[in-house]
Amino acid sequence: MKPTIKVKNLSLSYDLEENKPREERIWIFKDLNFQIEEGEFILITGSSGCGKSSLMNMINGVIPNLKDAYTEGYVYILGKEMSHTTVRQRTRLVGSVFQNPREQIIFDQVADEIVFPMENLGKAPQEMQQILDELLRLTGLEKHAKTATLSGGEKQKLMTACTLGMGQKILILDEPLANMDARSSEELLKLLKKLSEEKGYTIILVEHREEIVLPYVDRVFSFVNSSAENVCKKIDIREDIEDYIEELRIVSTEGAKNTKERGNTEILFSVEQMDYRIGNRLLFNDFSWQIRRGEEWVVLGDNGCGKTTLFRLLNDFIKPNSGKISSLFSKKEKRKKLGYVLQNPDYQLFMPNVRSELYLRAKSPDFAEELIHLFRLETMLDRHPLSLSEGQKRKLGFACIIANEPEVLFLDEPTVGLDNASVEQLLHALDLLKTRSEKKLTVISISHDKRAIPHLGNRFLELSK
Amino acid sequence: MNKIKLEAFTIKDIVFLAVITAVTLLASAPIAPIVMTVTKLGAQACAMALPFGLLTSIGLRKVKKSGSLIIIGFFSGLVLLLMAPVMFFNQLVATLLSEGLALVLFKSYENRKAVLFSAGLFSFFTIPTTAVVNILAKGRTLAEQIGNPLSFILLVVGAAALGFAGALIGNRIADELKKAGKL
Amino acid sequence: MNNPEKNIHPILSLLFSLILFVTGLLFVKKPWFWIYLASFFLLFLLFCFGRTMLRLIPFVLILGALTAGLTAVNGKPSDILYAFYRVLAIALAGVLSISVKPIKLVRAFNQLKVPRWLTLGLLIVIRFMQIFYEEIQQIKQAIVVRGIRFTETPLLWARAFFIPLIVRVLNISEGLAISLETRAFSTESEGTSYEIIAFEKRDWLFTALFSACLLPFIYLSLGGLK
Repeated sequence: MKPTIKVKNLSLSYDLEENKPREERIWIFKDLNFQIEEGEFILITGSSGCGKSSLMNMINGVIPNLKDAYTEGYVYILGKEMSHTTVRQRTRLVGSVFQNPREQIIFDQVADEIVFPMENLGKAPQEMQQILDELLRLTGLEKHAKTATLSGGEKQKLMTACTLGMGQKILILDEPLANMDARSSEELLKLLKKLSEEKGYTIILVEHREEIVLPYVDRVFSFVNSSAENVCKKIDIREDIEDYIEELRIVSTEGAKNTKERGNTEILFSVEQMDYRIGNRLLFNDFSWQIRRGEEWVVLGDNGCGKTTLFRLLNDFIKPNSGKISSLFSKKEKRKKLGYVLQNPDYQLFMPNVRSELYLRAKSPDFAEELIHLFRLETMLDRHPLSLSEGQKRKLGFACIIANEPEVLFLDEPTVGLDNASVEQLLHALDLLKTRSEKKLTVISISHDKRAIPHLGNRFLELSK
Repeated sequence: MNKIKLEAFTIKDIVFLAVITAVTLLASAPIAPIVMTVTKLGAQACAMALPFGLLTSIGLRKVKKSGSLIIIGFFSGLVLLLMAPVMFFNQLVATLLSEGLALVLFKSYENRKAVLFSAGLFSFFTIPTTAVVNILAKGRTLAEQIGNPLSFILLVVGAAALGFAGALIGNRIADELKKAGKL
Repeated sequence: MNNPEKNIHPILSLLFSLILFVTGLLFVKKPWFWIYLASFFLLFLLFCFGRTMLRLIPFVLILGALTAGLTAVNGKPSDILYAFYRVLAIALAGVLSISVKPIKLVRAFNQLKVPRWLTLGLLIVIRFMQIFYEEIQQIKQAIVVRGIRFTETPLLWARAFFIPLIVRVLNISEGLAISLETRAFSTESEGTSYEIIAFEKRDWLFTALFSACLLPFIYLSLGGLK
């Protein structure tokens, strides 16, 4: 029996120069060979930016039809070679669920969004109604619910329902758990497992939070660093899941304890009995917290529990519904003494080159120089910040904020998408900032990254829904 | 004589034009209610010229196909149809005039001047359509709408100047993003 | 209360809205204009548009006050009244057009064989105005975080605003286009419709009553009863 998906000598490069010799081209991955059988549940994992999504886009046809890339090799789906198929043709075989559902929903109501792909495929209204009812039952979504008021996890379930409604037996899901809490993640994974075991669906899940997904999958395709000179990554295929789980050093944050006694340094922020609501959801209920100078906090919690919202409240971007947030700093002082590294560096980079971006608010040219050397930006100073890779942009965004030498630093997932070397650079930069601070640096971080958490703080605030 | 270049629009093109229209409408939303109360001909065009010129020029630098501005005008007109029905015709006719003239002169948006011209004059061309609508629908004569000729001339020149200024800024932004590999 | 399921056919709503817009503005200076307003007000109440009319009250009050105020600078008392009447005429037309649900309008257009990419574009524009409102808030927060103030460095502020905004436009539109294509959307095929937007008895009744309300005033405006 032919495998459901077969990949032969598949190679990908974003170096689009034509006629460049193979050995000189920089490959994201090269000469991949693997097969996936019907009914298998596969996890594809690796750090952000390593090529997982690119591989998926080669299977569902987005590359090269909708995104430019230099590719070699072959993709076979159900025995048919796919080189000359359009995305629409491939869509009949492979369903795709992407990240960022908020930016993909176009309809006002859940039902309209779910039936949209079915309308595109020309299904009859009665058939659409039957499938819609089944999907609403499976996902727990309400037919007439307004899509704008759905939580992040519900939006992701909605996009998954859209794809399931199309009827393909091969599903690719790209980071579907990104906006989901633990319970919603489990529900989705159980549903996918049921589809693969009972109905023979072939599921390929791309996810970097392995610990949640591993109990459900049959095999793991792990992107690891390649030793080849011009190749970024290779795939390591693991079939013994138990063994794989053993190998992973998972740092459990359940046991995270506040390791230091509270000192008596001045209180910088005080949150008293705060309530904050988004729509009908009460995100914070009678919440109280204090941050003292010199403390290093890591804010933990499931997706959607309010971590970024808490940062926005502390920075005065939004106001609580009730309760009080007071700060040692006046509004004017906050702009000078607080630093906030946003999750998405695209919001913070806007100068014509890296040099001017970094020096824009740098307090001291020496420190800026040090950061340039630390983050290896010397050869990029004349480049436009937006032309950098995601990891480089993240490091630059971080550098720009700390170059201002703030007294209090808010870090929202600072290490997402960074390889180990870059994480080290970032943590080293943080240490440098601490040594330079006239007053003790206070750091409050949001992170899921087990490489960084132990270094970002020794006090933990765990938020739960 | 060179022909105007016509190309089919892809889904990517349509989506981008729709999204840039959304941002354009959003950018003009704060000014719109205030401007609607001013009955002086040319005031609306003058107030909207800068954001419209800026954002539509970026739209045309990304989707360099004949008809792109008309699509933007159609989309914005359709949305405004739900608020003030006559605005639909206002937007559509203005984009037809602006793009039509630009393409007759420059043939395609590969020529930067076509982008500047088309985006720069979009808001300006809403003036004659507004005048016609006011005559037909509100019974106001042209003389009533113009009022003081000097202030009218200032508003008309202002609409054109601000439209071109917006288009120039939009082009600069587009140049920078092209250098960054984003456009 | 306004039951969304019982709205008038979307195409009819837009057509009648346009008619009201034109006739309203034409009749503003007529002595019987208030009767014209009252008759349509009653018609809308009869067809459960009360909630929509309530939503328009702030618009009428604010815009009416602004318009009347600006007119009061140079105008006569009658001009002030006419200015306020114009706002009422626009609001009256707006009752029908804002009650139209975009998805129903899109489905009605699809039934009329309007190209789907056009109707989809309309939905995207409406939906993404809200998305980009939120994006703009994020960008403004990022600007504050970099310590840039419009009053101090307006050009820098403009750069910090527009560059990230356009980058987000590019990123979001690319992602959305890919999502649409992988959900089988095509500019070539027509597809089917989950819901048929048909003309119902309610629509015919509304048309009849609408005409009955409007025609006398058109007759009067053409010099009718002398």
